[in-house]
Amino acid sequence: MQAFTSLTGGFPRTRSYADAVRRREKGKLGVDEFWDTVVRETKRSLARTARYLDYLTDGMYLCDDIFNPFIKDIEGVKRGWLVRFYDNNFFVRNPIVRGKIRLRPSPSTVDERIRLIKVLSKDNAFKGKSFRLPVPGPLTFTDFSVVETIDYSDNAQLAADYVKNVLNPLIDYVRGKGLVIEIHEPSLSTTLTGNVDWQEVYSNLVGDKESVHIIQYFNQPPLDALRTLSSRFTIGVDLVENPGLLDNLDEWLGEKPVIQAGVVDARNTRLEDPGETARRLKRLSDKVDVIIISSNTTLEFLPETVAHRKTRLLARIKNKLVR
Amino acid sequence: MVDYVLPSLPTSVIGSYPRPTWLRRMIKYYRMGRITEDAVQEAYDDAVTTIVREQELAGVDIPADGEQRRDEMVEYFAHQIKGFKFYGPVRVWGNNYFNKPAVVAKLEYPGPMTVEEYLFLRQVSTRPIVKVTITGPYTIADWSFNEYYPSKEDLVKELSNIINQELHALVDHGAQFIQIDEPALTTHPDEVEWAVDLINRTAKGIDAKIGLHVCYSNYDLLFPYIDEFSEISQFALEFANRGFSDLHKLKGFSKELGFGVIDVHNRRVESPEEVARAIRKAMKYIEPEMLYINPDCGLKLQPRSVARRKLENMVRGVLMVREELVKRGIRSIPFRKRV
Repeated sequence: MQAFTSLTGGFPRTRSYADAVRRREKGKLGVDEFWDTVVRETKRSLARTARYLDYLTDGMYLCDDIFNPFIKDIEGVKRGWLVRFYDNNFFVRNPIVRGKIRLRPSPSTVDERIRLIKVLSKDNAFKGKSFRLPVPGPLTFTDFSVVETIDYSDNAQLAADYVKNVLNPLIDYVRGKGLVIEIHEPSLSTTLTGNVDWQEVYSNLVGDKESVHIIQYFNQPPLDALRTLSSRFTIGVDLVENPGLLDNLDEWLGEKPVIQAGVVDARNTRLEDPGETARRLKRLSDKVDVIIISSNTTLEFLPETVAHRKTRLLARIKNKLVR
Repeated sequence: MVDYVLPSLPTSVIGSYPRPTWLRRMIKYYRMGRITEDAVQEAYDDAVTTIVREQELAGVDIPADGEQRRDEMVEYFAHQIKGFKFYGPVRVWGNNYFNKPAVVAKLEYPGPMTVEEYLFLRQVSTRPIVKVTITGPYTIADWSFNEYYPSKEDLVKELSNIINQELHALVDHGAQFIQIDEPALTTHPDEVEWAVDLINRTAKGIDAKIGLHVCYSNYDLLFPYIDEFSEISQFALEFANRGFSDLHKLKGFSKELGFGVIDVHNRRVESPEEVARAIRKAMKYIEPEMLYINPDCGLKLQPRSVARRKLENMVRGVLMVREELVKRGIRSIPFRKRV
């Protein structure tokens, strides 16, 4: 069994970065000066975590949330209003769908994030690390979207087009840049999407376990979805909220699964016991060839100091697991 | 029991109000160590005096102190209740942060937290009734990390005991109208049932009018429980932001309604006619004797000049409807502590 550690989603912004964003929004900081701050602060923050992690992301420093500014890269979509992100005291701006959706030929916000990752990769602190680019999954995108066009009379068509016209070209694009796509799909567990069949939606998704990591968190997803998807892609599960998944592994592990185990709670400051967590994970690690140890969801729900401690914890859990 | 008589459709505020520019500057200087504690306290007092006067000039019948001394509604109490710790800010949206506290030990009541605020408000207001706001136990728990209590319900239970002691302290000092703020109440649908019980426990034995403010929430989850809030007399709810779309759901509403007619997340100042129209719509479902009028939520995110104009127009709209009520023989309503 091989074990890795990973950052999932974003990482809390430093105070200096938050100040820079404020100054940028007020027009008191120029584009170049702001970019310098982005690079400096991202590097400073993620370099501290990199020694504990095998997979990193861009920290989503350039993002307000999982949808923004990513949806600017999608034709037919506008930025909406603030809505609660599941049951968290965290709010996102929802996508407003006003026409047929399609990834723009030059996805500028994705390009800027990739540019940041490339800058980070050149730094010694990040040598040998793999980078993932977090984006919303089709069910999550559909859940949060407000449809204002007759192009989509049902959610199933919207989710299908998101896969076909947005995610698939994006996966190819990102893969070409040497990155992994990290698809955030908490809505795999909800019924908000109503008539959307996850099986149909995901049957058209391209990629494999190396290039596509689908991360599900919060509520428990259907076990057959986990089984099917984990045969084709790397799947992240939330073992903090759904510890019972460890009791029925045979029911949801697909063929030769690569599983991201979300065992560190990104929604509570209490630090997990690494020994006990590793012992719990043993049941899973006995059944899979590759395990990625991570927080259950984005660490952005935590204060920066605690997020750093939780990242260190991932490495300690990994050490105890492989020992 | 009736203690006071209020004009029909009494107007009030939800709580927070924009801080004057000079107060913000004084707070900044204080945090930089450039002015003394006494100086900043004087500035807080002056700000409350100003803000209460501003509300009264706008015509508000039941003012509050604008929460001028509070940076944030949970943080303010977590700084005082023993057992909380602050690790640093977390993002709530965009580039907006909240200093989210963590519960790291058994929580203990530190003694009165808002009594001085109330006494000062009582001193500077000319109105017979003023409103005191206090963050409810469920919202404090929901917006905190829990490292200590075995469950969230246990944490809320502890906080409800603490807030209950605070409510007793306020009543002992003369407070007659206290609003418990619970914006998080419907965030977790499976917790609403026990949260209702614990909010009742929070207000148990309190000889004052107790209001409950719930905003930007799923009222479909709240309304089935209205009758079960045995200790709550008034619900202050947000309706303007949702375009008054849920008014029909008020049919059969058994408590007083603090009707939100001003959108606090929009700088456009509502006209008096719009306010009057909204009130008339609400009166299709709620008797005028059971209706108070207020903004949707605290006005703190608005520029001060906008906040003031919004309050002025809210009152103008109320005056228009009051004239119509006079023709129906309704001029005043009793201030009821319990409904």
